[in-house]
Amino acid sequence: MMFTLLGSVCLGTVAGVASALVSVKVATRTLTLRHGNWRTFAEAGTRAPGWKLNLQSAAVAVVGLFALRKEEAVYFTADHDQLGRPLDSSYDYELCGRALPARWWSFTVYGPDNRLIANEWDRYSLHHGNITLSPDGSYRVLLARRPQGGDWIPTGKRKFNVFLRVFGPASELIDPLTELSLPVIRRLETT
Amino acid sequence: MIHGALFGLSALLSHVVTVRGLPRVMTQLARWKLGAKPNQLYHQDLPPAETASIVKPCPDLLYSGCYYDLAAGPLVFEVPRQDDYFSVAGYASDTTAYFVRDDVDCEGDRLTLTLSHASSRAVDAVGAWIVSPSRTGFLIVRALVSDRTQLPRMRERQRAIRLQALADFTALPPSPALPLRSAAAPVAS
Repeated sequence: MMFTLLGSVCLGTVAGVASALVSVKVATRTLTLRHGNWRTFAEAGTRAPGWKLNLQSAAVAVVGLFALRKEEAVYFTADHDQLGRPLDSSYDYELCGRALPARWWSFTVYGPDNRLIANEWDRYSLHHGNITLSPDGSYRVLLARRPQGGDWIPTGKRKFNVFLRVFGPASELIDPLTELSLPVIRRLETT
Repeated sequence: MIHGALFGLSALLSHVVTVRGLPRVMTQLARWKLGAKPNQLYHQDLPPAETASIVKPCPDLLYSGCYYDLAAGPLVFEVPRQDDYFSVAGYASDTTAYFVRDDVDCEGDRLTLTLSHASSRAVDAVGAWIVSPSRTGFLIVRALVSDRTQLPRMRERQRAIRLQALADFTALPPSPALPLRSAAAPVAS
């Protein structure tokens, strides 16, 4: 009798932990905004009202620990090109857009494990200070495995993702985030 | 009947404990990875490629910070101004980013904050008075490296960040020769 009662408690505990983890996973998806081929977690760092508080905090802890609130910084991730194909270093890509109304912004390329991709050129990112801007404020960054002329970030040998950091965003940029004009990522079919 | 009740009760309890505890677990995990001891500053250089402990490290930011514990009273946190963007952010134990101050808020040669717990009495604060919603948490300093030739000077200022108990705090004289913000010379990062 004692053992079967203990078994019920153990099973209940396992079920409770599992349901909590599923709830957190669902919450991270619910709180993720999609904008073209970019994703952002708009509630990073914020304190949700009422009953949402604990679930949102748990979701933030998992996907955006120590992120800043959107008034200070917003973050976008892309792991697909504009046609929805996963970013793969077997191909070259161009990332085209316009300068963002913000204090500073940068693109960083990460591997599938979300770590920087080791490379002999010591290049991991480009930011507003070293991206070449055309007179109209547009830019073109190449994402490729091998060295390229112009603005280029190496992509390693596997799948990768691009992370856009926007610090000190202008208020019109964050309200709402989905109105923001984000760069497009196109696969170059010539390689 | 009793089995079902026990199952339901333990499932409910463990669900609530897991959801509530996850932010604290993740915070403590980050603390362990950073090797952050209570009320001691840590400094990180620009992340190398093989930074195994950090997810999505920013290769353009110098990070410093501390895991604070306000049990013994308020703390004073003093950050020398950097030439470009820098910020100080506070994270409660439930991961809420409850304040941020950046270079725009810095009027002199350093940003000074007094951090106290919500339960403590009003304090005679040095600089801006920040009230932490939790007794423990993280303060994180980010400094933008837009020009890598400036790194030695930035590291020097990074290591000049101070954290002291308010009761022991001694003010430093103003730094005489901090340059004005320089135009960033573009370099590849």
